[in-house]
Amino acid sequence: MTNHWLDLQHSKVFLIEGSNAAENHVMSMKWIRKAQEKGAIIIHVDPRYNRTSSIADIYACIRPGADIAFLGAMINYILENKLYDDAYVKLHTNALMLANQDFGFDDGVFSGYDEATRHYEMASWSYQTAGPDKKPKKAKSLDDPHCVFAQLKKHYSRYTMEMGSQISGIPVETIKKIADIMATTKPGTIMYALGMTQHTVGVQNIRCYGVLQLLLGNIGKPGGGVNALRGEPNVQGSSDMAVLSGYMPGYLTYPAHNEPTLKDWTKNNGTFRAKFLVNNLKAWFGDQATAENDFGYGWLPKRSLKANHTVYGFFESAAKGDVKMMYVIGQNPMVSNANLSMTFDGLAKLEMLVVHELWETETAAFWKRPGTDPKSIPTEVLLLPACYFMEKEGTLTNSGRMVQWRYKAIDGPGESKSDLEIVDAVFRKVRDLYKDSVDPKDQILMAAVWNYPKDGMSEAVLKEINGFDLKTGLPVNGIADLQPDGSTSSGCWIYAGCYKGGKNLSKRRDNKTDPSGLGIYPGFAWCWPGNMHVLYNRASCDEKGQPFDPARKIVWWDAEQKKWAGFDTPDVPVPTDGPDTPNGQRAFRMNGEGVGRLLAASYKDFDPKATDKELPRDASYTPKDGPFPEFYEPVESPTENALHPEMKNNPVLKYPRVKGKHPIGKVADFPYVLMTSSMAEHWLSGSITRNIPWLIELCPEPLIEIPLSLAAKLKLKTGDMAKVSSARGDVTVKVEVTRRMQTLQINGKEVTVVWMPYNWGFQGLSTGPSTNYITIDAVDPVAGTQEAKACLVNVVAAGSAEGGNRA
Amino acid sequence: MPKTTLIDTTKCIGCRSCQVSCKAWNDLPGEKTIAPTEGLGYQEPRTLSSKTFVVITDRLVDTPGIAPGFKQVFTKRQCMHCEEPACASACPVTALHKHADGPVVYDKSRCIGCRYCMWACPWGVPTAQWESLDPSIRKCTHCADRLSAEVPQYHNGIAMTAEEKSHWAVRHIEPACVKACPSGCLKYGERDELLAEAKQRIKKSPGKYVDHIYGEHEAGGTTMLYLASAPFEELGFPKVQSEAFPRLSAIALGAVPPAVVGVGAALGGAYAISKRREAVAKADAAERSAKHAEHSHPEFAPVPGNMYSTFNKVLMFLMGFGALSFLLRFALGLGGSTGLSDTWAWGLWIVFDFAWIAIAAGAFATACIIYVLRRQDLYAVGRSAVLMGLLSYTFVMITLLADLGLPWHFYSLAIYAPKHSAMFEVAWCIAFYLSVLLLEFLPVPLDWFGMKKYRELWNQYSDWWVVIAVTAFVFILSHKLIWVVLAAAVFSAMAAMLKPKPGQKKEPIMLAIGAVTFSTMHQSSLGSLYLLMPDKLSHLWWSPILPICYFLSSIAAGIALMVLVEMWIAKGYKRTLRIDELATMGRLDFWALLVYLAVRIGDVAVRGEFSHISGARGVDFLVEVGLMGVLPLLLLSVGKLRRNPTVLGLASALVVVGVVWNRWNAVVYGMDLKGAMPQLGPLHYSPSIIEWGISVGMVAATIFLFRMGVAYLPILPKETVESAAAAD
Repeated sequence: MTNHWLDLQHSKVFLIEGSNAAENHVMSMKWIRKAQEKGAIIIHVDPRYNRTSSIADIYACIRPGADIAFLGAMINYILENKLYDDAYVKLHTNALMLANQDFGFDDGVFSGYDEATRHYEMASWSYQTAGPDKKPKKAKSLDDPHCVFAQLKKHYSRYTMEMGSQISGIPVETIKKIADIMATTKPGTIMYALGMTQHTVGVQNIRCYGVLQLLLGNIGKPGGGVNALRGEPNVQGSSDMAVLSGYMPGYLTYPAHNEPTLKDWTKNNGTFRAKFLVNNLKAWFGDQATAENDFGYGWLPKRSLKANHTVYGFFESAAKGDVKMMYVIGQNPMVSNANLSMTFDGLAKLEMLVVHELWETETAAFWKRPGTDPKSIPTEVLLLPACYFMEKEGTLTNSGRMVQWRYKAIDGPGESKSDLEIVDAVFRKVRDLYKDSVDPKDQILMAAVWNYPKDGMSEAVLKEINGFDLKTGLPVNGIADLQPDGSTSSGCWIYAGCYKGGKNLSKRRDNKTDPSGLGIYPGFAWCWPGNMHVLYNRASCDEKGQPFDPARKIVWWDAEQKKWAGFDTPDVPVPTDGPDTPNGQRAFRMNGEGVGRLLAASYKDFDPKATDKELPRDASYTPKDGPFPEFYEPVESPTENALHPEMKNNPVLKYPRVKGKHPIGKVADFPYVLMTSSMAEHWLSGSITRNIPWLIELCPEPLIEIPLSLAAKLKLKTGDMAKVSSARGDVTVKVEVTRRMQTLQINGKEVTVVWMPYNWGFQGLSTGPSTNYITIDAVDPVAGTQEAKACLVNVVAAGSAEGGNRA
Repeated sequence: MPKTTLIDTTKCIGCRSCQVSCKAWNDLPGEKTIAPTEGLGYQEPRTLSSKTFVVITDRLVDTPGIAPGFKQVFTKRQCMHCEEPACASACPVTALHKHADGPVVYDKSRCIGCRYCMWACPWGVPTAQWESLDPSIRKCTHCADRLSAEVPQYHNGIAMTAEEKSHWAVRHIEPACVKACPSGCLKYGERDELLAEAKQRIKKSPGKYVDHIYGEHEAGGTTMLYLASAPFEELGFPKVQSEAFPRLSAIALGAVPPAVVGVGAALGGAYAISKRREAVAKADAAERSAKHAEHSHPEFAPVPGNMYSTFNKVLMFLMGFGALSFLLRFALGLGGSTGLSDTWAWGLWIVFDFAWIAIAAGAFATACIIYVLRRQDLYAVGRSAVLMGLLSYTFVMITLLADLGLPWHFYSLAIYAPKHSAMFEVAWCIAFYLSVLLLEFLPVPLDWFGMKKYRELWNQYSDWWVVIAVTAFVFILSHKLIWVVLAAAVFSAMAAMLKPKPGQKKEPIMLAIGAVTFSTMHQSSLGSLYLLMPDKLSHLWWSPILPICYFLSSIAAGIALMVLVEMWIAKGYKRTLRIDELATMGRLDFWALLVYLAVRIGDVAVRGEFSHISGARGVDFLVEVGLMGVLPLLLLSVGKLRRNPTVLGLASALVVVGVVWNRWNAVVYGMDLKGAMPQLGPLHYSPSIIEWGISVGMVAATIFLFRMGVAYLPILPKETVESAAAAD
C-alpha cells in the first residue's frame, strides 16, 4: 500500500479491481464503511459478483485478463477530455520529459523487440538527455509531441471506449461513468490484490494504476494511492525480507552472475542502494565484512540470469532432476501452485523434502496423494512441527507497512518450535557439519554472524534488521544514519529506525494520539520507512511545498523552521532541503528521476558531485515487457487480440517452458473462461482453515459457480456434480448456479466465465479436488506470477451429488 | 438499562466473522454441512441449532433497472431477545428468563426439557441438543456472560491504568459478534439511543433503507433492531404481531386463581341446589326415590377373568414393548429415539397426552354428575370412571417423563415459579388432580381389604386435602394473598358444611368438587398452551378462547368415553348393558357437545375464519366439526336413538375421535412449522417406532391395569343375572 488501512476512510471514491476485499481483506471494510458513511462511492470491477460487489455502488463485470483494455480506455478518456490534474502531472510526473526519438510502439510491440529471443532491448525506452550529468530534457508544455505525455496520449489513443468495452465486456457507459467519477471525485484510491497480479500482464496491470493515479494526482495524498492488499498477514514482511527470488532484503536487486564485484552491482543499481547493500552485508558478516573484501559480497552465491529462480522454475528444475533437496516453510505448493501435476513431478524427483508446518499438508504428504503408490516415490520427507502464530513472538508487517510486535500467547503443543527456532537449530547444525570445509562456496557459512540468544531471539533478530552504529554498538535511529563505509549495519535498510533510541518501536500502542486527525497515530507501532504512513507524501504539496488541499494536509515545507514538517514523516530526501532545491522537488525520490513515471523509462541518474563518474547514483526500474502498459490476451483466451491480432500475448512471455508439460487449450475444446480465487472462509491452500471445523462448516467443499445460461445449456442445477477440464487435467466438483456469474459480449461473441475456489486438497479435515490441477502455469514475465485468474476450461455434467465431499 | 444490538444489514458484507466468533466464545462445535444449496448462497449452516446460535442469510434481491438487476443482501439472524419473550413466558421453571440488561438467558439447572419455549418462539430460536443424553436448550444469550467480564490487571505484561481498564471494558464488554464485526454492521448500546440512531439513519438516507425498523414493534419490541435496504419479508423475516406474545396467555392464566375460587363456590352452590331438589323430590315422589335408591347404591364386586387370555397377552406384549421403548428412550436420548427435531419439538407423545387427558375427563365429568349434580342414578359407573381417570393420568405422567428432556429436574417446578406459564399451571394442576383422583379411588381398596384405620384417616382428612391442595395451587399460581385467602375460605367453608353428620355415610363430595375444579383449570390450560402460537397454529384451531374450547370439548369427550367404556365392559364381560344410565349419559353428552360446538363454531364464525376454509385443512376442519361433531350431536339429540346401543356407541365414538382429532390437529396437522430460524420451511415428521412403542404401551398398560382392577377389586356393580366370567 502506498497509503495505509486507516487512510482508506479519507477516500471519496474507491476503485476496487482485482480484489475481493470484503472477503479476503475483511478489515479493510471497517475503513471503507467509514468512508462510505461520508458519501464515498465504491466501484467494484470483477468478473464475478461477489461480497465486495454487494457493497459497491457501481459493479462492473469484466472479463478475466482484460483489465488493461478497461483501464486503458479510462486513461485515454481522461487524456482526451483533459480530466487529468494538470499541475500535479507537470510537477510530480515525468510527463514533460522528452522521450527518446527512437521510442515507439508498432504492431503490438515496443521498439527494441527481438522476436527470436522474445526480449526487448530497452535503449530506446529512454529520455533525451542533456548536460554532463545526463539529466532528461524537459518540454515547455504538455503539447510537445516528444514529451512523455504526448507519447502516453499516442499510446492510449488506440484504447477508445468502444475498444475497451469490446475487449473487457464492460459497457461503454459504465466505463465512462467510472472514468468520470474517478476524474471528478478526489481523493480516490485504488485497491487491488491477486486478481490483478495473477496474469501474464500482472506487472503492467499495476503499472496502469500508477499511470491512472498519477494523472489524477492521487498519489501521495491522504485518501489516495495505489493500495496493494497483501495476503497472509506477513506477506508484506516476508517480501520486505527478500522472500522474492530476485531480491535482497529491502528490495535491493540480488547480485547476478554478471555482477561478480560490488562495483559491478553498483553500476547497475547505483551508489544510493549500494550503501544499503553494504549495511546488509555488515549485518550478515559483521567484522568479517570489510571494504577490502567488498564487505563479503564475494561470498554471496550469484543468481544466473539465464535460470528461472521463481517457484515455477524450481519445480521445473526439480522435475528434470536438477534439484536434490527442497525446504518448504509456510507454503503448500501441492495445492497453491498452478498446474499441480508439474509440482508433483518435481517433488517426486527430490532426494529429500523438508516441510515445517502445523499440519501434514498436501506438500508433506504428496507421496501418498490418492492414486499414488508411495513405493514409487524415492523422496525422503521430513515434517518438522512448527508453531502457530499465537505460539511465537515476533513482528508482522501489514499491508500499510506497519511493523507490529506480536506477543506469544501460549506454548506450542508437543515438540513444535517457532520457525525462527527451527531455522536457528538447522543453521547451527549445518555450519557445524561444514566447519572443516575449505570449499570457497561454503565459506559464507563460517563468515555469517549467527549468535542469537535463546531468550529474546526474535527481538535480537529485529535489532539486527534495524542495524547498529558499529562504533558505539547502539541501534541506528533511521536510514539517514546508515553509512556506506561499513561503520554501520542494517539487516534491512527500510526497517532502519524500528529500534530507534534502543526501543522496540513495533511494541508501541498509542492509539489515542493523532494530531492530524487523519488516523496516522504516529505512536502506534512503527511503519517503514522512517514511520512514514503515506508514501510519496511530498506529492501532496505544490512546488512551493504547500499542500494542494489544505483541508487534508499531511506534510508541508515550514519556511520558518526551514524544514519539511508534517503529521507524517515527510517523504523527502533531506528534511532541510527546501522546495527551492532539487531535492525538495523529488516527490518520488526512489525513482532516479525523482518524479512519478508515466513512462517507465530506462534511466540512470548520475550525481554531478560523485567522485566515481562511472557509477550512477540510482537506476530506475523498468519492467522488461514495456514502459507503458499494453493489453495482451491471456495465454488461454477465448478470443483474438482486438488491438493487434498478430501479437496476441505478452511478447516477452515464454510459454510453454517445458515441452509436453505445458499444453495450451484451444477455445474449440475448452470454451469457457475459468477464474479462480480464494474466499473469506478458506485461506489460500487451506492448510490451516481446512483443519478448523468452524470454517469448514461455512464452506464445506469446493465448487464451481456457473451462470444461469450455462446451467440451462448443460442441464445442471445447484448441487449437481460437474467435471471441469482444461488442457492440463480435470476435477469434479459440485455446481452452484448463480445469477452472480454472468456471460459477457467480447469482440462480438458471447463469453462465459466460471469461477472456482482453489483452496482444497487431499489432506486435512475437509478434503476435495485441487482446482490448480487445471489452471495454467504461464507466468508474468517480470514477476513470475501464474495466470491463475484466466484459463480455458470445459464443463460437463458428472451425475448428481450424493452428499458432502468431506472426509 | 436494556442493551441492544443494532444490526444495519446494509453494512453487512457476509464475512460471517460473527458466526465464527460466536462459536469460539460459546465453545460450539462445527456442524457438518453440505454446500451449495439452491437459493441459499452462503447460508451455512442453514438454520440455527444447538450448535449454531448465529446464521448469516444470503439473499439475492431484485433491483429492476439497476445493474446487474439484483443485489446480494446478507442478514445476521439470531435470538431477538424480546422485551417480553414468549419463550420465557412459556417456560414453567424460569429456566429461560429475561436478564435485567436485556438478554434472554437460560439456566440449565432449572430446565426440565419440556421444549415449550421452542414452540412458543415466533422466530424458531430456542433449539435442543437432541443428540445429548443430558440435553440443554441452546440459543444466543446476547453474550450475557461477557457483561460481567472481569477487566484484567495486565495487558501484554504491563499493568493497565484506570483509563486503559475502562477502555478495555468498553471494547470487551459487548457481544462477541459485535466485537468481531469488521464492517460496522453491528452496534451495541442502549436501546433508546440505538433506536433513535436507527431512525436517524433512515431519515438521513431514505433511499437506502426501507422505512421499517424490524424489532421496534415486533412481538412487543425486541432487543435486536434491524435496518435493511429491502422489505424484511424478502429477506426471510416473518411478519410478527406487534403485541407481546406473553399477553396472549397472561389473561387466560391470570384468570385461573379467581376461576378456582369461582368454580369451587359454584360447585358448592350447585351441590346445595341439587341436594335441596333431591330432598324435595324425596318428599314428593317416593316411587322415584325408591328407584333412585336402587340405582344409587349398587353393590360392587370383582369380576375375575382369565389372566392369560389372548387379549391380555397382546396387552402384555404391548406393555413389554412400551417398557423397552421407555428404556431405549433414555439410552438413546430424545434425538436417537424419536422423530422429533428443532422443527417438531413436540410430536406423537403430546398428541397422546392431549387426547388422553381430554377423554380422561370422563372421570371428573362423571364425578361431577354423580356427586355434585346428585345424579345418583349414574353411581354405578363412578368407580370405573375414577379408575380409568386415575390410570390415564398416571400414564400421561409417565409418558411426560419420557417426553421431558431433563425429567430429573422435575423439582424445579416446586422451586421456580414463573409469572404466567400455561405449562407450569398444567403441571401443578395435573399433579394435584392426580392426588385427588387417588383419594377418590382409595376407598375402594381400603374397604375391600378392610383397612379400617386408613379408611378412617381418609374420612377425616380427604376433604381437607382438597382445601390444602386448592389453596396451595392458588398460592403457587398467583402469589397473591387475596386469592389464597379467598380460596382457603371458600373451600374450608364447603369442607366444613359437607362434613358428614355422625352416623351418616361419608360421601366424597369435596373430592368431586376438587376434581372438577382442578380439571376445569388444566383442561382449559391445555388450550392456553397454544395461545402463544397464533403464528403457527392455523386459525381454524387457534383462538383466543382456546382454553374454553378445550375445557368444553373435554367434557363431551370424557362422557362419551365413559359411555364407550361401559359398553365395552358390558360386552367384554358379558354383562347387562345398563342402557338407562348410558342413555342418560348420552343425553348429558348431547348438552355438553351442544355447548362445545356452539362455542367452537361460533368462535370460528366470529373471527371470520369460515371464509378461509379451503384445501386439505378445510376438509380436515369440516370432518372434525361436522362428521365428528354435528353428526353425533344430531344422533344424540333423539331420545330413541340414544337408547339404541349401536347409535349411542357410534355417536360416542365419533365424539371421542372428534376430540382426539381436534388435539391431533392442534399438535400436528394444524401447525405451520417452519423450523429453526431463519425458518426455511416445513420439515417432515414421522413418529419413530419408539414413540409409538411408548404411547401404545401406555394405553395397553391402562387397559391392562383397568382389567386387573376390575378382576381383583370391586369396581363394577354386582351382576345377578349373567355369568361374571369374562370372555375375551
